[in-house]
Amino acid sequence: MVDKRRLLRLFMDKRAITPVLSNLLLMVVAVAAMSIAAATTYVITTNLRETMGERLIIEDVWFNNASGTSQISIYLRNIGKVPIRISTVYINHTRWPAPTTELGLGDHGWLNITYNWAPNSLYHLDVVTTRGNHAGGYYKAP
Amino acid sequence: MLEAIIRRLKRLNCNKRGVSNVLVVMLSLILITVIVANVVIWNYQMSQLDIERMHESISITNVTRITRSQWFIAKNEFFITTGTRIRGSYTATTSIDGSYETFREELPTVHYNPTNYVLGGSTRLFSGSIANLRTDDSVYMQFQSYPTEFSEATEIFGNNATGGAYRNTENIIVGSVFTPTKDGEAQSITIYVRITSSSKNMKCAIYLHSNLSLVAQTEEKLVPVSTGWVTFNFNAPKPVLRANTEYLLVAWAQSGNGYAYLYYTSVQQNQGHYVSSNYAGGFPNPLPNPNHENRAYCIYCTFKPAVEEKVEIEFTGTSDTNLWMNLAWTVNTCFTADNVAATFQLYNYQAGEYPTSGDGHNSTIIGREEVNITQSITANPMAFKDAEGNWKMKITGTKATAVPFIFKVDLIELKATLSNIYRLEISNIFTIDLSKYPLDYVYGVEIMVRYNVSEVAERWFVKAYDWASEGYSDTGFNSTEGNQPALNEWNNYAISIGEDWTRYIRSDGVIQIIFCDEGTSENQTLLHLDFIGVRVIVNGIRLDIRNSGATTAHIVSLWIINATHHMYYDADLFINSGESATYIRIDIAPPAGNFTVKIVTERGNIDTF
Repeated sequence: MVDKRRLLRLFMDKRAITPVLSNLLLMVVAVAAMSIAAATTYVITTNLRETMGERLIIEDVWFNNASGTSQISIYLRNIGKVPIRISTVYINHTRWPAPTTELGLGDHGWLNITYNWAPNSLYHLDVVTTRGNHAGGYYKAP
Repeated sequence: MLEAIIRRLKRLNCNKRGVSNVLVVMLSLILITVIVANVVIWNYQMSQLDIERMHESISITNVTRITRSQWFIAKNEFFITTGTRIRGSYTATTSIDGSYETFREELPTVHYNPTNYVLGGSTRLFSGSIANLRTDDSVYMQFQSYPTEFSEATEIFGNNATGGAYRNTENIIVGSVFTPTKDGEAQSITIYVRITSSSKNMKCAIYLHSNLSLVAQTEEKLVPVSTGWVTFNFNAPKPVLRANTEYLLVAWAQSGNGYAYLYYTSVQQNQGHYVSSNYAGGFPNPLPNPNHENRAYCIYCTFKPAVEEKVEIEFTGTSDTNLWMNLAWTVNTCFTADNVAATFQLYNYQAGEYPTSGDGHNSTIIGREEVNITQSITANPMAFKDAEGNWKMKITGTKATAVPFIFKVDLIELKATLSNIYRLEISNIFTIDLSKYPLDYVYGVEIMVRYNVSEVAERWFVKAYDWASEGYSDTGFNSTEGNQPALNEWNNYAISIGEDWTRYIRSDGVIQIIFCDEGTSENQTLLHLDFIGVRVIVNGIRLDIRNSGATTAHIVSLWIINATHHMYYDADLFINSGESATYIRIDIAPPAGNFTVKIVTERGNIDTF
């Protein structure tokens, strides 16, 4: 009989609701804020790490017209710790269309650029990745 | 002091806003620490990578075309088909250095050993097989002699004591085991019996104890009622007994009124044997499962000891139908007794008999020492084989003794000379290292022999074993005319196989080479062999690379670049810090003219030559 009475009094007491709700709300807000902060941290650090982990070398540059058209073939090797995606090639500081090339860890392969090169001319080649890293140098056509 | 600290803690505990601030700050610090640590550690790793790359220093010191492999040399002693090794070993032929191996031409011969044998008389195979006669290696084929003549005087073996106890022999075969010490011819069996009530038919027999087979039985006698020794004679042909062999001497009586007691004395265990069997005309053969008892029955055998022992074997073999210029036969043998008169006879098919003197015959007194009996037949050696090439040799050994002996034979060989032209044929195998020189990149084979001869009347030839046709051949050789040597000079004889060379290389890289004379000279020639080797013709590239950096370099790609082509090849070569290495690629055919070689390491460093 006594327990019933106490339970009834608890339900009838309006003053206890507000502090509970306010505490719960505060907890939700705090957890959400921390989640956003953690996710942002993860994204920022991942991008930073991938950018820092990119290493790309040009093994060979071949000025040729093997396929019937003049082209510059660049042999690339990914020596970094993340996969690489080539976004742009600059020839003599001019952006030049290049096929999309992806190189996994340790991968290597040709990047063929159609370009009407002139014999005995010096060209500055610059291969740029999607993360903004680049490899390049001056190469003389035969 | 303590009170002040407690007071401050209580205040902090009461201040709710302070706790929230601390939590926020701590979480923020954790986030910042994670971000910084992640970036710093990653940056450290990439910096490490860059430092290692900077420390790596790889350089190509030389690049050469490879058109020939190294020489592959003999790894085992030469196999001599015809000829003799005089001095040196195959190791002297592995380099051109003045050390050499010497061989000598010999007349071509063939060797034959017996393939079967027939025992003469009662000769027994003691041990070994016909295969033991192929080499003189002290592993013998052995035969035991048998008695052929006997003394007129007699001896006995058995129990000639008169015992006090007895067993009835009516319908019971009763006897004991005894062992003679000499070979001999059994004459009779004597038993000590007591016959009661009525006379009884009795007879005796000898069994071989080892398998209880019947050797011989005596005459039957009607033994009258009495007690005493009774002798039963063997009928002709009388059995021959072998020394040191266990025999079972038994008596058997017909049932009748009274008893036929056989006396015995007690001796060693299980010497006595008896088995119930109804008296009949002949003894059962073999003796059915006898009972054993510790009795030596009063029974003995009278025999004439042997005065002569003999061993006799005819060995047979096969050979060829070629013309024999000369025939030499050899027997390596001995006996287990002294002064055995041995006779060796090679059957003469033309005369149709074993010769008793001259060619094909030898009589020698041989003892316990191993001796070689040899004979060379130069006159009509073809008479000692038939048209199919079969031959046979009879060996007898005779000695005046009563004790059997063993004839031990280690080697029986016929050596036939086929020609009067001195020949030398030596061969060996050479193994190409296919892991370095895969056959897909081989264009031919080269063979080189450096030799010196004492006589230059004939040319010398190299041939290779054709694994397809299973014979030596020189098809595809650039020269098949042989090499004419200069006298007492080192002659270099080089052969190149540019066509059909694959037939000479087995799938595991083995090439078998034979070096032989022309076979036209009747003069005996000495051959000094300084070098013999095989190499393959390839078209590859050799890089000498030096790692002068501080870290181990891993070369992952190789470039061959000329005016028209930039050829990329995968590579996998590790070079330790401070070391040099030779990198051979026979799968890369270098282009004609000038070209550039470039290597790239796993860390991204590049060097060109």
